[in-house]
Amino acid sequence: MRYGIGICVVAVGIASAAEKASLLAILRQELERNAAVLRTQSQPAYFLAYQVTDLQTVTIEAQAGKLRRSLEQRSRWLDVDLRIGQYELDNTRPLRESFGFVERPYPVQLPLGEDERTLRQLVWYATMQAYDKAAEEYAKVIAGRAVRVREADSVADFSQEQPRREQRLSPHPTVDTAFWGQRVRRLSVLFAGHPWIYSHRVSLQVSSAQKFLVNTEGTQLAWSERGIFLSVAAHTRAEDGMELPLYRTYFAFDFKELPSEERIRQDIERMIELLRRLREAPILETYAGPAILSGEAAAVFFHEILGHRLEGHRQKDPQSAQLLRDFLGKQILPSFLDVVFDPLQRYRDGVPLAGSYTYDDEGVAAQRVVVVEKGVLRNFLLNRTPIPGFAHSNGHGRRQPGMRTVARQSNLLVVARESVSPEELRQRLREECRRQGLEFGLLFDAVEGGFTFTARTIPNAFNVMPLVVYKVYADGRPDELVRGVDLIGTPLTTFAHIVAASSEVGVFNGICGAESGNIPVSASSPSLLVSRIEVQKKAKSDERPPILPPPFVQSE
Amino acid sequence: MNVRQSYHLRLFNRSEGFMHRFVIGFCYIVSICSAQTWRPPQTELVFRALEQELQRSLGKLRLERAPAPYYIEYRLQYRAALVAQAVLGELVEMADRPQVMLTVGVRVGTPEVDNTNVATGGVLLFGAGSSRETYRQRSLPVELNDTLLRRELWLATDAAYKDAVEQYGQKLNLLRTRTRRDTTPDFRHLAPAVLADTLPVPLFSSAYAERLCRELSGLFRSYPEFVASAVGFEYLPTRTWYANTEGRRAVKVELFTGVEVVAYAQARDGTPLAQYYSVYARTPAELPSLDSLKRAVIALAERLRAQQQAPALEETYVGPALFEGRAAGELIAQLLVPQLPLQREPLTDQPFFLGRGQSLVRRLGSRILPEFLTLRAIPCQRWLGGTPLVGAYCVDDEGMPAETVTVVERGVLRQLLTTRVPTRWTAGSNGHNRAGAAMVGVVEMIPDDAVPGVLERARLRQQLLELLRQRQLPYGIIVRSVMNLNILQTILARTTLGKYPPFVREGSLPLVAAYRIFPDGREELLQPCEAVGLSVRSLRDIIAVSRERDVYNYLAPAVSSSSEAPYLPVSLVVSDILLDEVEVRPREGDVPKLPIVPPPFLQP
Repeated sequence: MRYGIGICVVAVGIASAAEKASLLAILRQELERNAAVLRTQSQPAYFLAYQVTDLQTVTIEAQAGKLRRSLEQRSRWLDVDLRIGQYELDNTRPLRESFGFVERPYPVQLPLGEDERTLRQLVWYATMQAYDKAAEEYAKVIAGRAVRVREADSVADFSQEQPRREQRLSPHPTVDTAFWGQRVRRLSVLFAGHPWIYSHRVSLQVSSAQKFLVNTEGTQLAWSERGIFLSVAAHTRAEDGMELPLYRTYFAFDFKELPSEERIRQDIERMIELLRRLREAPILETYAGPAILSGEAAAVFFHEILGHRLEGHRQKDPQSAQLLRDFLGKQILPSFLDVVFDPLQRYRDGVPLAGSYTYDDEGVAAQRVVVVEKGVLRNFLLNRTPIPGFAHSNGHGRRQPGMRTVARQSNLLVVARESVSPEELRQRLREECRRQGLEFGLLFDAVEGGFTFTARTIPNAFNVMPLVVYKVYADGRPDELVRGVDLIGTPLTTFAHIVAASSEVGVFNGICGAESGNIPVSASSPSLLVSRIEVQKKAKSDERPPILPPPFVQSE
Repeated sequence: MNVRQSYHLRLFNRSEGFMHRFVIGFCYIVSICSAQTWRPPQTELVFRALEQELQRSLGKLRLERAPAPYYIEYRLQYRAALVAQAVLGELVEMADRPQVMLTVGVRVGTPEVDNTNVATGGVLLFGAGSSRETYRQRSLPVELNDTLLRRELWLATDAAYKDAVEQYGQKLNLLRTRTRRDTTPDFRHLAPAVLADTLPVPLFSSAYAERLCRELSGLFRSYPEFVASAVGFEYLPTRTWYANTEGRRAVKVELFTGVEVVAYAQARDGTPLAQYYSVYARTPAELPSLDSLKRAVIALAERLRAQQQAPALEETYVGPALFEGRAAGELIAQLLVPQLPLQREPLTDQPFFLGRGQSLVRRLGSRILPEFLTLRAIPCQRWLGGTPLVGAYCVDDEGMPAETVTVVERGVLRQLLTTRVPTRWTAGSNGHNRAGAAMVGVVEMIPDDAVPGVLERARLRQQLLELLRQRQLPYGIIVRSVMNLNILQTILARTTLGKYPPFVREGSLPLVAAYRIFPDGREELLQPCEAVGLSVRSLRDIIAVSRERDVYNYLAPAVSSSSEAPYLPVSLVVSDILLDEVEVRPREGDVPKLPIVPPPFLQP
């Protein structure tokens, strides 16, 4: 299985919170009508939940001072979660022969208004389809158990949680599309004078979701989630064909939290200069030795390498390698590091965190979860799918509308109990190089994301794709920009080589894609010194840069 | 050649026997509209950029040790899209999404042998490689200036050229190992030409689109026993600019709009039942009035309600069948239309592509229809009587004038519909390149009135009854609606959450409104059934057609795998068709159970 972290998202509009007041009542009414019949069937539905996501999106994207697109959309989606059997064993039990990604049903789109007749008709029909599908799954589960050896674990398929009732809706924000259209145009025009930057985008993506959830356990919730991503992406190609992209993303809950236009302009100018240098940077051959992962790079590293392996459902999936399950209570990181997932923490060092929310998509209140304490593995990320030793959700059941909820990451926080200054961390890197008899170490300044394999049938390796890497010379020479490598390894070995952390924290906000779709997350970490990492040559395209010079330019 | 078309919007009250009756209905809306986005770049700006990059690329674009391009073409499209959908009177979706798309074609080698007409593991089909810039349907900014457009052309042309060089190398490798039987050149040059086929683009009010969808879908509130229903609307005006290195230039505007209505229910035994109504035109003003659309929706709903109580066909029926109106249109749409565009079989070593050419081409000169039928492609005819022909265009997507073609003459296949791809059977294009591949636009069936097989509608029905008596059959079949593949796979699939069987077996036609007709003339609606074992050869068994013809506008699935559009508007002008022998079967297989919980507003 391959997971990626990238950049994206969307949403906005105008709708009063009061207007939605009746939606929960309508959902409740139809829930009770359907559940009353379905629980009396020979294959009884013991649990039924409806989640409605009312999504407003605004996307404004510019290139070279002109709009690529400007879209405002509002849509409303229904998810029906229906379970047949009992909490102990139901239709969701993973089957050994199943593939990792869950089949995606047809999305159920609801009307934007509050008409009871229409809403109930559509909710009813989606419920009938969900029942048929669950009944089919349940029959397979029962048949599978009859002919197969029982799973080693005997944990329930669904946890029992306290019902929650709360309504805390915010109206969708209004977006001044004319103002932001002008701003992204002005920012994108900075790339226009650099024809060797083959593509670039500056985009504003505003998403506002109003979520409504009712279930047969009595939960009845309405809450809001909102996020604004201002993203800059640019791409060039070296003479040898290597793709060289750079990205910069600014996340905010509110427009006033976004950086000033001037600051973004300065960042873009730095990005352009870095791209220019990257095109001419030498290629780094394979390397094994010490390295610093900048805060942002370390954050993505932890998201990919640790975060995905802590997602609870993976500890139950017979296809998953369940690498960390046997390490519970054991040291997996140095004792000066804690790793926490906290959807309730909205800022770190003043930077807004995209993985914030109040309730998860199963209606469980968001919780701070210390997964690693003083280097010792203490916990997993859990939705309502229990795993051995963990009978309850810790509020990390998340999904994109239309997908089945699984345990997902929120705000990953790597916290150093002991740290050194950034300068001292560099000094420690140089010392480590000298100790290992190496001319240089590496500084991974930015990474674009990565992927990791968690399946049982393939090696549990990771691959993190750096965007900006420097050689840091042991003798103190100036750093040298290099390109062309991926950071690779196996998780536990790499964790064991983390030797120091700096006091400076970097934050990565992005969109994570996995089984339950794309969701906003953040990861933040201090810079880390790793005594030994490995890099391998990046899979390089042999595509040549454009043959002709750009129009209007005779030579570059 | 210079074809300059312009026409004014015309509105008609139709009178003859065409199936859609268009009346003045939406014109007052059009005048107050403007919500829709329509800001295409200036034609002068576009052509200047296209020409500058054509010239620059043709003269200078070349890789070392590789041939230079000998031909380059650009197609740029600006399309607005106003889309709305409603369920039971409530709006579910409303979107206004303009987009700009660029497609670049590059030929290297010589016209005798170049990089095209080859299929080597998917390069031909899928275009650019993984890290190469895209050049087919490349998305461009909606705001374009000269600099930006030329940059995009530069990058896309570079990618198209590199792909062309790779394809050319692969083709030469293939040719080294074989002796070609078909030595038809890959291309033939043409003289420069300038063509224009433009017309004003009326914009449409999103508020009225919303009202239309709400009011039509709201009619289903009177049918609480239906499981699902939906009404969709779209309006897609498109401006296309075309330029190539031969000096061919074309600019055209194509307008397309439509209303689609679906409803889904189950019979008492659980059999899935679906009915649909679709009407397409070029502009919203040409659509039927709201009142007349409402009548069509109510008729659909009543038919579905009746079908819930209708008997199923107990056993396979083999005998004559009369396809009326839209059903005759779908019969021709599914059996004959996919065979009419001529596709050249690519040079290939991939088993997947073998035999992927045109099958009907080998029957040129043979009879494929009865002698009393002639078939003409009339792509540049925009109206028939008062009905708009949505498949019409006067300049195709290679900048070629759309020609009238006699495809079948008195039953004998004479010509197929072609693009500029030469084949051993055709010398050149007759103007049927649509979205990058050969495709039908408008085809009319012309019955020969002087022949006994061509009858008045009422007589056709009499002939069916006569056949029943002659063959001592207890009943015959009249088909009034056949499921359309676009409806089946898009709006119906979404509305029923995939519950209605979305696939059709090859050679079978899903009959959604078939009637048993008894020798005494009495009719009985049946549950859905299937006509099976049909192919283009079945059309030789047409024994009679009606003198009256209907226009059937629909969205046709692309015929060629290299088409850039999954569906294209097509218009057929067809008579009612009486087939000598059709095998009609009841739906086979299990049927879904009725919902365990009844619909929320259905009174017991």
